[in-house]
Amino acid sequence: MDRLSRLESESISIVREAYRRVKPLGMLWSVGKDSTALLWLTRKAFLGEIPFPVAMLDTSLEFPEVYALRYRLISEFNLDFHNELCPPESDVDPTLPPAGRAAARKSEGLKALLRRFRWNGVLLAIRRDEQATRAKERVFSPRSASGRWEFRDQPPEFWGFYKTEVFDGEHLRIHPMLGWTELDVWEYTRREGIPYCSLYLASEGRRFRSLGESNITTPVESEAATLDAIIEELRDSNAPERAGRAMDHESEDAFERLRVSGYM
Amino acid sequence: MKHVQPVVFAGQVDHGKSTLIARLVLDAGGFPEQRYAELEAACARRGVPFELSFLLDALQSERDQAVTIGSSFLWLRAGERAFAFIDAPGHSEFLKNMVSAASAASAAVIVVDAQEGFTDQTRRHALLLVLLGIREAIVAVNKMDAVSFSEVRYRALESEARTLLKRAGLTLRDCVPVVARDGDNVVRPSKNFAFYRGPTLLQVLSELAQPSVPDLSPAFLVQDVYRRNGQRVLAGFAEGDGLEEGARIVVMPSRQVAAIASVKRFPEDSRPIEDGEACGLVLDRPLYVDAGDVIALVDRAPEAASSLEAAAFWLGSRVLEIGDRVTMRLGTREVPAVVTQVKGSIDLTELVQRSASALHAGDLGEIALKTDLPVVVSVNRASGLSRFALYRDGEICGGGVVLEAAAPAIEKKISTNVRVEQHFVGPAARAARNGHAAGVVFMTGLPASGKSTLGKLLEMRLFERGWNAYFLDGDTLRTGLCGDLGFSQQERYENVRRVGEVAALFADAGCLVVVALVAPLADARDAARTACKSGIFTEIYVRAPVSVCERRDPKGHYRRARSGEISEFTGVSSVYEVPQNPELIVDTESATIDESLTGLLEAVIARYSTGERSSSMQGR
Repeated sequence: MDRLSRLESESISIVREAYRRVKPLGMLWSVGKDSTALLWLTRKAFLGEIPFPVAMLDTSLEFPEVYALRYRLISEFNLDFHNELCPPESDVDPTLPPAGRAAARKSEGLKALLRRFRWNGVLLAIRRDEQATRAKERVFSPRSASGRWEFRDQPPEFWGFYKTEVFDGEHLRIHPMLGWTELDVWEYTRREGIPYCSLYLASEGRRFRSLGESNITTPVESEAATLDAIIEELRDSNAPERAGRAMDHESEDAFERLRVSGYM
Repeated sequence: MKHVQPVVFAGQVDHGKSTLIARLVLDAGGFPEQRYAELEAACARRGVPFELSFLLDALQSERDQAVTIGSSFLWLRAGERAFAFIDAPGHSEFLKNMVSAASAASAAVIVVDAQEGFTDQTRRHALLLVLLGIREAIVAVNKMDAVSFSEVRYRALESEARTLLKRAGLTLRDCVPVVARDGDNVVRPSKNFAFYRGPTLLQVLSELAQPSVPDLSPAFLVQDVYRRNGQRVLAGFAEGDGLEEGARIVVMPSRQVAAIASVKRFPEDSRPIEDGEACGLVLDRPLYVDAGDVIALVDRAPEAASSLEAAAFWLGSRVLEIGDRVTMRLGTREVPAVVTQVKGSIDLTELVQRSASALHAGDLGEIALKTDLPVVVSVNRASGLSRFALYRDGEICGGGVVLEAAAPAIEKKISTNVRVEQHFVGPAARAARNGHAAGVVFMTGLPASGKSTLGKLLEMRLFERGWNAYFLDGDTLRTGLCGDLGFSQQERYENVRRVGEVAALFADAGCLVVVALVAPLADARDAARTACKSGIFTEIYVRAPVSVCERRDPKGHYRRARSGEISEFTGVSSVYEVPQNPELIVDTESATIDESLTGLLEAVIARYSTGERSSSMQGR
């Protein structure tokens, strides 16, 4: 099998392992390229259906194009969908920098979502190559009741064996696509014909490489107006993917603080 | 991207692993300018010189303490090659992070400080790499500037590396002297090494062979069973190429034979299954298949075993000792196991195994395990069926590979030193006193077919006649003797086997034992028959169609099975093999209980009566 098929099969096995061992289980979907690819391969894992709910953390500040694609795919993929409205910025840690506060609304939304459904496990499409603290993540990553990430004391995992038991109040963040790169996701999207948001394509010399809330996400310079052009661009570029995400860059530890306290 | 080679960097803490990876990526042009600027700013804020390792050591506590805590990944595309560099923490406290990192790699760079040389931790890492499946390693002798680029020192370390890797079981691919901080010989050749004209580290990495596809007998590891459109779809993944529609297969460890009716994918696609692929299978007949079972070609099936010898590593804070119970995951199987032996642990200075009574955190050694149920294993290290993890209290505490496996205990345990004792009171004497022959009346049939009701009435009628009769009920035994058994194919077999053995003992004591058991498997019923050596065995098929049993459903089991609340329920989601040659068939569909009982009682009396009568209960 080629690289994409191997990645797909490994991710399918992780999703199935989560479904077998962690109940109740749910999935986060931002309508971005990564979580839509996860949605796609999850349908493959269960032969055309997704046997658990799929939720979006909605700040009401996502781009209109994102909302439009969301409505389309809910019915196309026949999703058991839940829209979780995130609490206002006044509810989040006031010591965080401005964009961090805006992003932390999603951490709070996720906590509310987990309380609502009592999920012991939630599937997310984060990848190691996105960001240096995500590079240190586990596939099955335990979180305390407050959502804290104990990065100093992560369980070992090897050969597809994971910590799958959940103790009181904990939950597991399950990351089936941790080993994929941005380029893998786009090549997979092209091979499979997965729908994606038009904002990723360049218009007037700019495109979005990573989609966040419209108030803290900016496009990058690019002429890549087609999927093929995006893939060509990524092959030659080493500019970081999340350059346009303000929350990552406000201070040295901005993203680490967000993640340790429960951000995705 | 064609292929990404995952390479782990291992070795003692502070020997420069993170710096070396960062230098590789920086000098090969894979380092984004924006990140470089962010790192410069971070270092300036801390008042430290530019620190390359911060590229990987991104956490505040890692930067504050200048130590790698979590393993990390960094990608690099260099020419036609692509790499995922994996940074493994060198601090002994973070060994589980090292194991996690190394298990994701197909090649390794062992980093050693030219001044300090190889340490126990370096040797521990080398041994772990071998255990985790890595075959060859590159040694990077770092901080050569600190030994004034000394050829003597380098040659000594190169020779030590050769010996060490050989003893650990690794092939030394190449040894490269470097200065990670300054970039000598990492990507750019350096004039500082007058004695070294060999390739740079990046050149050596670029010449690594792509990992080849291992030559494995095809096997499909069942991860879960899904129901789709009335079919049972076995979800799992394959190792080795060659399973396809129509193939004759055997389900291990139950040894049931079937054919692959179809390969399930979404969207539909019926091409043959490839090595590593996750898909679904539908068999051509309704067999019990559990998560953890293995589907293989009939003539190339791996063996089942319950006694394993293994090379293992231990990470748990509590030691692993003889007699400890653990949960083992091997392939897709999860099974309780007990440690029967700790054969020894490896002395990291000498790299020899010494006898030990326990494995402590960070130890590598050999252990023997006995699993509660047979597991399908392979001793081929390329196979996933050779690798396991050990759990205690839900946490992964260790892992290893199977070196040797012995068949399930039942076949193996009966030693030639054990012989059956001959009683001074024989079966004939007991039958003469009791007034009837001893034996086992074995009633099998679907749940709610009426077995237990008839069994209890039969016991009462025989007792009233003065017979030494006793009713053994399958459900009751599951609360005690068989309380450790579930409802998988294997456990059902074991359940019936045990009940058969117990019934045989009662019969040997002179009793007429009435057994009521679903016992859906013909093999298991035959085992019960074989066990009954000193009495007469009578198989009785209590017959009623599923529809009738389901209407009765006194315990509500059928309803719960239909709703999916109970899985593997005989008659609904699990097969019942109808007895082919029972001594008697009792039909409970049309006959009343009393009618059935009368016929049953007559047959039993005719078969077991010796014509003599006991004195006490007669005439009741």
